[in-house]
Amino acid sequence: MLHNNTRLFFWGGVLVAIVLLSFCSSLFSPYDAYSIDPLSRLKPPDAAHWFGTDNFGRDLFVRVAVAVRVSLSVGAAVALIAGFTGLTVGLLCAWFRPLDLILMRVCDGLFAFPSLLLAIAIVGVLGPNIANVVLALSLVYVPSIARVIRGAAMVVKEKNFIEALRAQGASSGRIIWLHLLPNVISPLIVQVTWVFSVAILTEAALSFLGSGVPAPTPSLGNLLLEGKAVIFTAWWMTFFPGIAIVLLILALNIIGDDLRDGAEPGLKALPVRVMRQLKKGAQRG
Amino acid sequence: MKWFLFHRLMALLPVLFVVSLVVFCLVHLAPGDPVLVILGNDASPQDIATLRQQMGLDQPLLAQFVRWFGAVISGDLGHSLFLNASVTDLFMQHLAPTMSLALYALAIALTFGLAGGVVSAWQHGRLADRVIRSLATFGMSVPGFLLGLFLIFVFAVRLRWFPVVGYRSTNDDGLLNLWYLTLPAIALGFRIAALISRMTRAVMLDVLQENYINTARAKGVPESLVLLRHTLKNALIPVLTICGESFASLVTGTIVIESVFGIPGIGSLIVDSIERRDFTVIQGVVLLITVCYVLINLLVDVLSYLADPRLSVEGSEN
Repeated sequence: MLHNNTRLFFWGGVLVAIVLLSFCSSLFSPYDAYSIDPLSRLKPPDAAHWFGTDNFGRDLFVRVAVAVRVSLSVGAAVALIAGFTGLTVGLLCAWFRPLDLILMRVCDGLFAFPSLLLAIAIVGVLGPNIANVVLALSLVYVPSIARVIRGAAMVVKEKNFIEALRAQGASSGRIIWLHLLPNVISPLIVQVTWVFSVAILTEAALSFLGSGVPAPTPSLGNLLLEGKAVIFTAWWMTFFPGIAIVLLILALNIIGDDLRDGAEPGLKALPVRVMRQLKKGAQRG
Repeated sequence: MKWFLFHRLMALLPVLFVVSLVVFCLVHLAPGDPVLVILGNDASPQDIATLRQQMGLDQPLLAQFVRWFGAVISGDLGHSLFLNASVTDLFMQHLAPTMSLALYALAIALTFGLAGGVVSAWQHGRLADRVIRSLATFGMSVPGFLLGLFLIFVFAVRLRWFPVVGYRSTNDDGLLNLWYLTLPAIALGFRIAALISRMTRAVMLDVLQENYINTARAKGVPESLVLLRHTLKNALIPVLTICGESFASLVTGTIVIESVFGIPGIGSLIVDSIERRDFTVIQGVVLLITVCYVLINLLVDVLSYLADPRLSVEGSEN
């Protein structure tokens, strides 16, 4: 247990450090993420430019910091929107049978798409910008949240106290709001953390393909895309954004795993828990 | 078995219907008029009206959907707006590189995943186990395209063991094909290998607690046989499930990996079509891949059922 706690604190610390560094980057570096300096293009890392400069002479440290900020914001927006929509859909489906039949078919259909594929198609058709990326990713991850919430709420719905409430004449709205909702909060938190980290990964992949966050706004994906073009000469342009994304995702995944263990202690026994977890992992692609 | 298959097939129908509805809506979400995309902004109103009529865009949405759905059912996914080819032809032309990449990646993932899982379970708690588990956690957090860039940098740019980018058809030279695909396949398969090794380790550790393993050891069965024959066999069904579900990661992974390594497969087709705003191709390819994905999951269900009839009880409950 102690081992687990040190691990949680370590990776929690890493996450906090990344977030602080990205939001307070102006304290450490005088450069601007967008100002071009043709004279110092593709400089390797030194005391002035910690992470070197890119092919327009922009400071890479500041750009990586802004990119982390963009990725975190996209992830947070998607987690919020998908979390809220998924919660609403899941609760309504669990309570109202006819709605369940329609909405769950739609969710099954959306769930059948490989997620990155659907996201690429939506952003590709709507046009690449941050709002469309958030919209596409939210739509892609709503079904997985709705399914989990619906499942959890169905279990609660069968409990005796709900029947007692109905016998007392409590309205549907009151039961859903005051009695179902509090009982699905912990699976909701687990799902939302998961969506947060997958959304960051998927956004990076989208931007790397050029159908995500458009230049000149830096995002972890499009920094790597720019890095790929100069991989022969400027290793730092791939290295630093790469390190940033790996640390960020590792921290989020490890914290998420521990949260899940805490939220569902009954499922700790192998292999059921591992299978569920790994199944989810496989669907992340 | 018959009923099992029947139920599964019946459950697929609404899913496939919703999938095609979503795919149809996708194109109609697009801002701007597809006719203007094809003809350009300075087309004459007459030309626009004619083309619109030809494409059936003057009809109500529902009628358009019925027409499109009917065509799709009969196997006609429409024509590319830009290339003089049908969507099905384009798909088939780009299928070979993607298939060989995906199968190669799956082979790598299975080999290293199973080996890693077995060693990890055998060396439970020791150094080898810890190394493999850390690698697996790492593997699940690294995006495939980043790993691809790293492999290019180390093995192609620095060591020059492998080509940087490109693809050779199997028709030219099978070995050359494998040589070009090795780095992309590793980048694509690493994540799945990580999943498989975690799964194999977990199930094997679980099985090693069983009484019949004690019996086998007491009988004097060599440890290698206990591990490989008595224990590993039980881990194979969950691994099968993982392989089926990995199809999604393989497909979406190839889209990105192909763009890293410049492989002319389905992924490049999608990315190019998006750049050209070739809506019918995007629509058709997304639909085809999703249907394949749904069918492969069905196949995995059936295979697991055949491998372990106990599952049918759970299967009928769902």
